[in-house]
Amino acid sequence: MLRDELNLTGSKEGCASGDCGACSVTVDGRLVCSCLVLGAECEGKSIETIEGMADGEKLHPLQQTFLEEAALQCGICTPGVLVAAKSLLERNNNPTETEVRYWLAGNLCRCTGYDKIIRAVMKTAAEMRGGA
Amino acid sequence: MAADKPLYKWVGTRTIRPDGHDKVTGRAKFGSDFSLSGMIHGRVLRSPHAHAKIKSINTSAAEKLPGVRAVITSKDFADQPSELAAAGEAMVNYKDMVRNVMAREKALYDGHAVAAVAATTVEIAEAALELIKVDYEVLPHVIDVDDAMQPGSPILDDTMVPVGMDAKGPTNIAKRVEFTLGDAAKGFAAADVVIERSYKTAAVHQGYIEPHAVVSSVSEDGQAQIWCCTQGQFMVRTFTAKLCGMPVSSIRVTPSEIGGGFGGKTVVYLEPLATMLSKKAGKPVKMTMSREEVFRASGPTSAGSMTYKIGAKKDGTITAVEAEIKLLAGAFPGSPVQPACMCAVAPYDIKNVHLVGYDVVVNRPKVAAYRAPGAPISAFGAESIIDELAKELGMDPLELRLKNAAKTGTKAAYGPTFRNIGYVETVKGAMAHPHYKAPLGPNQGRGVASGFWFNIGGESSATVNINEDGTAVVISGNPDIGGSRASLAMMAAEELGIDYNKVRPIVADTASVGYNFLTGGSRVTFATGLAVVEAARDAVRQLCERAAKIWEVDAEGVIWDDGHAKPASTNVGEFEPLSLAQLAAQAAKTGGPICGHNAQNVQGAGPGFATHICDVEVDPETGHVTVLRYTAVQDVGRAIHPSYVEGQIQGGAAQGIGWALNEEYIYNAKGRLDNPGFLDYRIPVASDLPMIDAVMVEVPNDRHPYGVRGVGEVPIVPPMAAVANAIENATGVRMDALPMSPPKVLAALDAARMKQAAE
Repeated sequence: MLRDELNLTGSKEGCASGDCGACSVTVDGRLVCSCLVLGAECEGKSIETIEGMADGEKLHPLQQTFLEEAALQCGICTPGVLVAAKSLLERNNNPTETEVRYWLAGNLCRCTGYDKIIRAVMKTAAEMRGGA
Repeated sequence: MAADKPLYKWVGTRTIRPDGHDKVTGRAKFGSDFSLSGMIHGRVLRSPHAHAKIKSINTSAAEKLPGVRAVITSKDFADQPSELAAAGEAMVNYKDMVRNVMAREKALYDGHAVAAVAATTVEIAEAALELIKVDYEVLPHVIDVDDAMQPGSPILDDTMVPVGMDAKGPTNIAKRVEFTLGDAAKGFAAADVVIERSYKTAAVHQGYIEPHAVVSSVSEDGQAQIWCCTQGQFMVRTFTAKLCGMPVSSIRVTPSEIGGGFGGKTVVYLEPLATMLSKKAGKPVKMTMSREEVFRASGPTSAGSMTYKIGAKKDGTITAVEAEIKLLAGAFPGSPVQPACMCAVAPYDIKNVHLVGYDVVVNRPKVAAYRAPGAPISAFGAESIIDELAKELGMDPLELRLKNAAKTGTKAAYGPTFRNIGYVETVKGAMAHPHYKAPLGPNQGRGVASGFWFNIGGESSATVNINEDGTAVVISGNPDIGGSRASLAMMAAEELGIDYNKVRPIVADTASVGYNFLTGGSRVTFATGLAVVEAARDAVRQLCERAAKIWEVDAEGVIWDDGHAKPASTNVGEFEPLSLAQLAAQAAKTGGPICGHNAQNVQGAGPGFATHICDVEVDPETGHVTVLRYTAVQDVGRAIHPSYVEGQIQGGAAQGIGWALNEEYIYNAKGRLDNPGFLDYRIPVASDLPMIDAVMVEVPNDRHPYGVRGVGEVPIVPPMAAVANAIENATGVRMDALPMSPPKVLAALDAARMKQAAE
């Protein structure tokens, strides 16, 4: 629905079975794999995808930090990881490394070994706390 | 790390990658993100049998289904003669390739394509697949490499004649390779200690998150445009042209952004099918693999079975190594057994080496390259037995490696004599790292292992266009998987002497840049990088000529320094330097556009070496292994963009940890793949791993202007043995087969406890 009907191809299809997290979006603030959600289930609900994460030309702090910290390689998992990480930081602005790792355990990345992703999320959290 | 004073303005810095913004905003277009108006959808019918004769295929009902525009089978593709072509580090045979994209006489593995349909919707295409009647005669199958070599095994191709050996009658052995250095028998005779062991590794998939996807559009005049996710747009053009019987000039391939490849996108699967369907239907055809299709029908890497024998003096000098390495190739010949043998003991200066390798066909998907193809398999055996040798000799395992380390001037068993290499530096780097001396707790152990990958160069072309406003465009032809555009732009900025952000790197389609060998073998930053450097120097030469024209002096009297043309000396005359922007603005008046170009077959790839340290904790109740700490030391030549070099090291190590602990293809009794999904084929997730400390050692490659060595592949070579050696140190139990998953580790622990209780 998102990709084919609305042409929002930022959410990626890696498995269509809810295992890879590349299609992560939030529905009324709840993090889901969009491949497991029917369009009809979202009637009247608010869906946030990667396309809405930046504020115009101003990137979300997570997006900016991912660029600076080289937290992506091929970039196919990146939209899903960013949506999931944003959802984490909205719930917990000071996560431990373990909390970040378990929160993002549903987002497969084959390129990075996760190291720079985890560091970028924690650095963003620290910056957002400092700036708040 | 690099010297204290920065040698360069851009090389060695951590710039923002040029494709980064599009990738964090979702704007970047990957394979399946591409669509055309009027496009229809293709799906593939796949064999449910591991091995079956195809007696007939009836497509008439499918063709009659409303909405179906084209149906193809192997009949639509002309047969190909046996002819080899390069695909990444391996060779492929067109006779096999045409059979792999569409089964002909036989279906040779579960998932083998037998027909394809294009229809107005995916749903109609899938419904049409169910209407295709295939009459199979199911044959006995063989999945395991050792079984396939046994007399009486089911034979995949009874016409196959093995290369490099004599065979009495039909065989599944496609090829035997042999590497000999010195005299192994003499070496063993001189040894104080001799150990012999056998090891096995499981087939694993590259596991890129983006499934294969393509849109192909063939117009009425026979011209085809293809958009796809691939590691090599030129490879897709060559192979599709061959299989579809079209001239190369009639196919234009545009690579999309690529969502991981790791070697798995160095061959064609869907591209010839979509092109043939489009030709028949007269419409653009889009095809995307499901995750299940990716697992069942795209190339995993080989499973391996090997026996190693090693001999050493009491002082640790290794006197001889002998090994027999058997790799399964899948349904068609072409496992990476050659590189497996080449890399097996390459980190060591051993005078007597005898390696024999076998390439064996079985009823599984044809293997494709996977990061340092073959090397991680042979290294699991070599680096495990070296660890056992260290135990036997009572030596520190890194001391043993250092004592036998290959250095500049060492002759490798696979032929070359090493030039400047940095293996010793990686071992010393590991020994000096605080990780190596950190305390361990109960049930914890530490393992080390080394690895080697030769790296490659290859055909490379690049253009550097100077724009009228003083910016530049770098045009290259290699899909960028992990940040290579950034490194190419940085080297160009360095040469031109302009700001990195004024250089825009573009990955061009096959009609817009000279030929480039595919992205693989860790070649792009090295080889295409060299072409970019030479193209930038060509542009600089032209810029200097333009300045000479303006100053009315000889071109030899002009030098390029920090982005400006300057008189070489006061003898030339007193002239204000001219910036690149000033020269670019006057280009029309001084001779026209300024375009630097270079094309060459790049030689001189610098070999890569790595040494890894791994700490694990083994749960004695469940057999579950947790990786607690991981350090990877690697000679990277010179890191152009250190962050992305670290990323290669971290990602390679993580893939190796997955190969070590979890990943495997599981076949049932019928030869069907039981785990074709990310739920049951478990790649490492964030919570499985610790931080991975990437330590870069820089021993510059003297055959590259910036000292670049390929860095992407060697990090996957050491992890499996490093983890096995750590488990042995934690438990006293030697795991000789992968994956070292909880049930297997627990079984080994239980067996050891039973044995201990009995004694």
